[in-house]
Amino acid sequence: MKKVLVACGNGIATSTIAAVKIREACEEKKIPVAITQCKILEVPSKAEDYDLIVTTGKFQDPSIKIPIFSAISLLTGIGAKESIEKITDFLSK
Amino acid sequence: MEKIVITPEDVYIHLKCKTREEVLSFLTGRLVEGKRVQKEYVQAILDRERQYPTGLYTGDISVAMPHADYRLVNESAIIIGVLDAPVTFRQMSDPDAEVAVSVVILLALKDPHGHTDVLKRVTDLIQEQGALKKITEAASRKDIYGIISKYF
Repeated sequence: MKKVLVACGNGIATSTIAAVKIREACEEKKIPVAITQCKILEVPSKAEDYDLIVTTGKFQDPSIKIPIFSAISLLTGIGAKESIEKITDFLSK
Repeated sequence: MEKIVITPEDVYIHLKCKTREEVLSFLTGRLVEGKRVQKEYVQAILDRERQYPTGLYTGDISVAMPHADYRLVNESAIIIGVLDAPVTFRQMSDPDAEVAVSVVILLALKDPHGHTDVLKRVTDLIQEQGALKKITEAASRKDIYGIISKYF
């Protein structure tokens, strides 16, 4: 089972929305997944325990070797379908 | 889990704020008045907006979804401000980019990872341009409440 770290500014509200959307999409496609929420500031110290990082805010850290996807579309709805497909594709591999 | 109730009184229309700081202070001030948040929540919202902006480009009618430290919240609430003229916010996805915001949905949540139902409904609302447009055109807070109560 893949592990996803969902991060937003202070680890509340927007990461909850992103986590719910990812969880629902994975349930629908029967992809087992474990989702954890955190603050963006905590990502560098936690990243190595996860397979994928999803953030609602801007986040770049060249020292992190696992993929980082943006989840802003899950909030705005613009491009949400594509984002969810990208995430579930990655998690099903 | 604590249920969040939105009433027509939690909707403020015809706001004439010129800056995001003004609208954030105004809306948070209303929550302080109602003792639903501690007075430090006002500064926490302003600080948080600087550090991690909450403007969301959702289309012609764009929104902001400010929120801050759950430990300063006494009673979970959602308060909505509709601006007469859009106010510039920085975007959540890229703080260097700006977005003209017409509707501010300010969250005061007590449970950091909970409230999933209400957050889903807020998301449904902000993804619906038709409803947002109606909100900006509504003549009264009751009309707006009529629109948003379909979501909450």
